[in-house]
Amino acid sequence: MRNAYDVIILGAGSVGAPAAFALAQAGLKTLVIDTAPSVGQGSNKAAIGGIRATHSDPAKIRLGLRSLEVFSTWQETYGDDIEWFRGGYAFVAYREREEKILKDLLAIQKPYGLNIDWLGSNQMREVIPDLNPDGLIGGTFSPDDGSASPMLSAHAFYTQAKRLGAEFRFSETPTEILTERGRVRGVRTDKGQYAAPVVVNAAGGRAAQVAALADVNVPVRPDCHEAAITEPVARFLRPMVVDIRPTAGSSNYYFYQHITGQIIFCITPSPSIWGDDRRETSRFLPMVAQRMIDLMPRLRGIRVRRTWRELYPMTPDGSPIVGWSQEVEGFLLAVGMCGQGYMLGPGVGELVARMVQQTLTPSDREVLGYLAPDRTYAGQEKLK
Amino acid sequence: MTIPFEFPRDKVKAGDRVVVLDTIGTVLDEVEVVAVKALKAYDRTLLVKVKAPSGVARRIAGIRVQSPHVTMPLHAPVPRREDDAVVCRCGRVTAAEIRALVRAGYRDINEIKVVSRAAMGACGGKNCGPLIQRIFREEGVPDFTDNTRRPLFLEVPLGVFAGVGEEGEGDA
Repeated sequence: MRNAYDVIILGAGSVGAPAAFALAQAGLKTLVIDTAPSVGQGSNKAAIGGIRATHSDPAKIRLGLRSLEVFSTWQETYGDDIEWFRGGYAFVAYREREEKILKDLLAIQKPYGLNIDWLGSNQMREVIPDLNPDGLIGGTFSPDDGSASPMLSAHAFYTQAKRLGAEFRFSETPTEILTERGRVRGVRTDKGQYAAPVVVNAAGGRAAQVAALADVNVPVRPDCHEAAITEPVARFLRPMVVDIRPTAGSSNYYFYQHITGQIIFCITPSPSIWGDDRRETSRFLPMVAQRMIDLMPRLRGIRVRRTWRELYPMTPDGSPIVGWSQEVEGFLLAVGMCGQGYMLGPGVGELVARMVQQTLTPSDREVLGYLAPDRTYAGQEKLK
Repeated sequence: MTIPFEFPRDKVKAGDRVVVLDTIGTVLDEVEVVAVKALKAYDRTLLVKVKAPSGVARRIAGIRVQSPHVTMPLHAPVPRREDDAVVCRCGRVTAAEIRALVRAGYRDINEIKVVSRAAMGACGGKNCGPLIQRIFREEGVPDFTDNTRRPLFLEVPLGVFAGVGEEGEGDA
């Protein structure tokens, strides 16, 4: 039958593109539909590119470790340069409060075998020589984490998925998820109709609207974050630097030097700015620039090139939602990545493929237990 | 006659003989420089005062700084190698690279940016944007998506946003 697939993925972004690749690799006939005219045009290209496995939630640690492995070996395996750089992640502490938070996290992270340790202030300054020494207590450092280009990564997953036979339909908007007696039958769009027994919601910031096409509620709502990139300068900074001190107007912010030499940075507004207004604001740059220069005075002369605003698809407890819908059979949710869709995408994509093929491992089942759509959402992740 | 002069200071001094030109570059005369003034209000523009016959003086628009051969026609035409043309100077991307992507089926300039690095530089696609659009039209592809334009429209140091100025140029 024409227009019949094994799986239809809604969303060709940080999760949809690697999921398409994993499904195509498994030999499944896969169709990806996205409203945008090309791959990764939603929140994917807004991600700043940090990739870490050093989370505090067991599910994210496992997905993160696998994702890290995929990103760091991508070029040698598939040939595409995705600008991977193993610079590590450094969470810095200038006060006892942050020192305690980070040391408490270490106690959770170490048993998972994560390569992360506490560094005193002198050791931390060996890793980041330009860090402001005034009041620096130290921090955690995880040298195996890194960064890559979200845009090039999505593009690489897309081209490799196509090579394996996956089909992509861009500039096409789903209007209905077709069901019959509580089972998924396919997808209708503004341009056509496609049949499949499995439909994956990988719609990022639009996950709730897409789920509503199947009359399914998912507790995902986006909040807005802004980011920017500078001109390229010679390498002086290796790790992603994260400062989690809450300050008026913002909580944590983070920055790193991409392999192209550019500094890329982002800040978490406090209180959160809910909604999906993607227009850049003039408040963001002064706020983040002050905090960054305070932490690293050397940054003051580096020129900002571009700024943008995008969405973090948030869930009530700060953890992603990955699992089969309880309401509609065959409707798979891979949503609510809470701003980490890029760094978790390859791990989530492979997990989605194993769910569809029914080849879950015991570890997968444990991960899915944490990310289940019907969980209570009562917990709160320690470090989002 | 006083002429604004926007080339380095050492290029002209009082007593020099200079060739003066009219508004379309025609040689008018060779005349003597009588004074060179630098006013703070004019930043780096010098004021060059020359002594010229009255018939010539009113037509003077500038001083020749290049040697004449620079503007002379060549003996033979230079073959046009359009595909070597650099479309994006920031990323050094040629017309041939963009054309190959259009022919390979790319229809979103945002995607062309990712794979070619065109429009990712300091100018934000101000220069290459229209040139890439032209290539689409030359290739007979009228329907394509333009790239998303975002601020900043010129690069500004982080220190300026933070209100502490930038290094090297004193604190603002």
